[in-house]
Amino acid sequence: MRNFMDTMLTRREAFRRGAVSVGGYWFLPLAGATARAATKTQPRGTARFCVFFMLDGGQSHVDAWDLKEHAWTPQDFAIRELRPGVKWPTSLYPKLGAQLDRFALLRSVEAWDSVHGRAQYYVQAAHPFNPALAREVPPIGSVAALELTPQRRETDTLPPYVALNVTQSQAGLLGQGFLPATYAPFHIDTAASLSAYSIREAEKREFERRWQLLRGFDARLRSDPAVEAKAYRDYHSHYEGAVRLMSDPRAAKLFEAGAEEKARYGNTATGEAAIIARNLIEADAGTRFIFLQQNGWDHHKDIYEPKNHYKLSRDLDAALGSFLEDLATRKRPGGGSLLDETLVVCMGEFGRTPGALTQGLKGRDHYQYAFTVLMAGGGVKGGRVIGRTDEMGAKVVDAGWGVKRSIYMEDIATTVYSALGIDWGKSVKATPSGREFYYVESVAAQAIQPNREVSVVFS
Amino acid sequence: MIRYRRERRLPGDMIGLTETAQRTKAMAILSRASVLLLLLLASLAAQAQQSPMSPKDHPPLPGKGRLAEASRVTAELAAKPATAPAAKAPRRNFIDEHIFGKMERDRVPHAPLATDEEFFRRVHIDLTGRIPDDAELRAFLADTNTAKRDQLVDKLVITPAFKAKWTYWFGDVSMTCANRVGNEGKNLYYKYVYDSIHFDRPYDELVRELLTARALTNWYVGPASYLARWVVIGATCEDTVHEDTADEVAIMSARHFLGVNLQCVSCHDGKNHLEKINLWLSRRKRDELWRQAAFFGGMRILRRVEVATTQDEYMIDDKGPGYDASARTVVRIPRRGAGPVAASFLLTGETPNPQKAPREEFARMITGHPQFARATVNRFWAEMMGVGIVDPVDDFDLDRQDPANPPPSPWTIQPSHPELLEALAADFRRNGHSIKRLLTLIAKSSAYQLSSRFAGPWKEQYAPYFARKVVRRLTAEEVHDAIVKATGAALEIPIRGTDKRVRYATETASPEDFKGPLAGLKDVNFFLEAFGQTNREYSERKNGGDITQAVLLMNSPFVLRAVKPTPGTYLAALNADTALNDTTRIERLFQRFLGRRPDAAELAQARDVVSTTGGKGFEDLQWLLLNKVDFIFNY
Repeated sequence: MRNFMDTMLTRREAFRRGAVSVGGYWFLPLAGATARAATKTQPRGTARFCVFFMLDGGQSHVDAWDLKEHAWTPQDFAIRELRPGVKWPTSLYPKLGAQLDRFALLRSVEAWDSVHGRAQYYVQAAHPFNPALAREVPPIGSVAALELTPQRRETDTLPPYVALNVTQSQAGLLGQGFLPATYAPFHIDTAASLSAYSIREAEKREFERRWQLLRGFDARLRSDPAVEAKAYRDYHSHYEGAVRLMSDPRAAKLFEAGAEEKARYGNTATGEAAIIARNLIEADAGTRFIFLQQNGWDHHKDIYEPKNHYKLSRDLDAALGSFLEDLATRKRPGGGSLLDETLVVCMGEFGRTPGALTQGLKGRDHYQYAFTVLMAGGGVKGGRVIGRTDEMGAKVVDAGWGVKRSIYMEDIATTVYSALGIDWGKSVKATPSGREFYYVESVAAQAIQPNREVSVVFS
Repeated sequence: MIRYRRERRLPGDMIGLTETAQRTKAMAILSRASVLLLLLLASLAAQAQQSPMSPKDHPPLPGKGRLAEASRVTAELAAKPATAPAAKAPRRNFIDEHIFGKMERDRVPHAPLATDEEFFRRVHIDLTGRIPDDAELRAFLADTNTAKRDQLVDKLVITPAFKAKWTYWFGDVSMTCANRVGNEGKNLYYKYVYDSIHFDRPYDELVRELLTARALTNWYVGPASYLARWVVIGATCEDTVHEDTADEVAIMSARHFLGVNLQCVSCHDGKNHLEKINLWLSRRKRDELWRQAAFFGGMRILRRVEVATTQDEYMIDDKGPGYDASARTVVRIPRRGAGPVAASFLLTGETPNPQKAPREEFARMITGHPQFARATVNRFWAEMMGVGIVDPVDDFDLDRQDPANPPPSPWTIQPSHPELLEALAADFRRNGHSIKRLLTLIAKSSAYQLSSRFAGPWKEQYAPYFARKVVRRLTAEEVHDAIVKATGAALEIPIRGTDKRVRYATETASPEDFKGPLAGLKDVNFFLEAFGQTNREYSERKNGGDITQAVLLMNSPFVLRAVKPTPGTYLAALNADTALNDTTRIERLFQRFLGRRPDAAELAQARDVVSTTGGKGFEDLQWLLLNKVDFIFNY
């Protein structure tokens, strides 16, 4: 049984690095650190935005986009073979089923882990969870935010990396690691404090008054020559930044969704998050990487009960389906659609056990040896399936991407970086631990096959 | 499981700030320029920076840590006019002998003693997790009794708030959560720990009971949830991975009770990995960890999944098969050993008496070892003083503890006050491992009671002397509880799995109690997460500030609701009390929120606020006080 730790073994033997930090609170400003390209890469740069739809808990692939029909499969999935090789549960994913041409399905994906926390970490970071380094490893979104910073314009006021509803995972929302705070994810919980992020017209005057009063409390400090100006600036920076965000005339519209729109997107937190993601992309006001999460896929028990797989699927369909629809139909002045310039990745942290349901519990457990990832937009050519599993959905029998192994998170990260035009071969030497940080580690268990872009999705 | 530490910082790029911006929420306390220093110290004490470590070129960085870094930046701002040095602080107990003795020998100046106001607020937060009541503050200030500070400490350590805070704190240390041990397990464990604190049970007894617990189910044996939390589950729900679980227990018990981090050597030898990090660990081998874990080789933890739920309910007995070095692992580098591993205690090499139960032998060895008391007193010291004598508290380097046997240069002794650490540990052992006594000793010492204000230029080298109070941000729970207490806004947090409702975050049995379906709770839950509450799984406590926190403190439904003078709140009562004039009301609000009176300038500004904005004036003032920097700092 392959174990993700094989990657670490190989690296240890190959590099013999010393500094694995045991403790200490360290964090470096990035000033002075240069990423250096170790290998030649050719990022394709077909996307300006990337959106991850994270299916927290692990979606059952055999009941969704790598459907395997057997005696135990519910009849009311309403399975139809929409295309050769694409059996579709049309009662679960009607909207997506009508948009097959907009996305590609990667069915030959494997996870390195079957433990939630570690596998969830892997999706955000594309690195194995290493307790010695977890504190310093930045997630994909933060690296992307860093790399895309040179493209930031005067009008870009929003945070480059926004996360939505990452509230229930075991791994939690990863911080920016050793990167500067600018690249931390800006977290929004749509079910919680959405109203906090913008100031409605009716509240503007009151808020403005309070804000001026607060500044007044500090005014003396600002003009006191004995007081270090820098220190004061640092102190107030959070508040200034917060107020700028909240007062931005675009903010109110960005963080709000009308009733009928919410209904179209499924009237769920995920739908609302998807609306906000769409708004952020449409506004193009600085946010380039979005990680949004749908919670609740961990169906160990009663997976076929209406409130479980059925509900989660339909909620996802409404959210993601509407999201793709809107992105595909909204155009930029140049003529291209929002979807053309947005890479969408939808995946869980692993799949679920194929075959019959578990005895007694009637569910499916974690399964890392095969699952499905959906990719759309940003250059991805839709209407295709890449890779194939066996008739149970238990084993990858055809990797489907010209490489003799399954697709792993490292490869997906490579694809994401490539689409965004980021050189994924880069590494940073000046990390707190002293250990070189590679944007994407080689999938070293297959040391002769370095990680690579899933280029077939683009062609 | 493995803890993953997460720190969030200001997305400074949004507003054109420098990357090194530490959230120094500087002061709005106007003429107190020195408070500026303390607040800078605070925000940096809350987050450390270390120079990059290049293993090849740089020697290890002894002595660098949160405190040193905080002090470094403070030094940048130390160009203040020198005033008279602080008067000698009275030596109240042996802690002071060590702390002030060392400062005297090395000619290090120290801060003055905290004022009554400073002390009153601080000791409430540190001992009970809550800001004080303003009426009690006034009474304290008016009290002329010279023993009043000691009496206050004695009073606080027997309050329910004290017990709740330390129970919650211990739950954070042991990371016990409903997701792992079920609501029943979590609630019972909470009660068990709470009662242990209530009775000031000898801490070593508590620890031994945790490590040797047996249960048909942890849902009715309180201490069993400590071990059950660390079960490693494999491919299916029932698949408890035996050796991995033993490893986790070995690692976590060493961390919690010996202050030693065995995480790294659970995968590989220390050699060629840890030479720059930890001398003692660099000499350790992976099999030594296995031999430690082998004490738990006979422990069997089985999950109960036969009823309709995959519940987090576990049975613990000692009918396990032993520890096999070739057993599979689902979370680590594969073991490359062969056959059964004999138990031996990592710190001493002692093997268990075959006539006795291995876990009991382990419990005896670990609580009997001097490092147990040292690590424990250090942990509590850090919680009260802001920084440990050894810091971080989970990263002792056992080769760098003894001044009589110093490590090779350039390594230095790790504890800032090795003799004090020994003295505290010895006192702890001699006095029944009493937590109450330990905390009382610390709180009554002059060392604890130093102000964060410092007269004269502050130098970085003063930092390890505890020459002034280390300022820290309030934790997420403390911020929440401060808002609830100051405003009196009624809030009901359900203890999941019971019908009970509580008011304060530190009264909850775990962070998951905020994740219930109750309306209004989601907002509060997000507030807590944004301020760094850990989920006792992979996320760790975040210590810094960021824009989201500013947004929430200014504009979240939770805060906007709390500052309104709804019936039952403090402000409603204040407004209704016609015997008070506005000046008194303002003073009381300052005392309630910030633990002090307003100075003249603040009073004038506050009067403007309440007079020009009509009825909403006091509500605005509450909002302002919440957002004032001193509110979320413990100084």
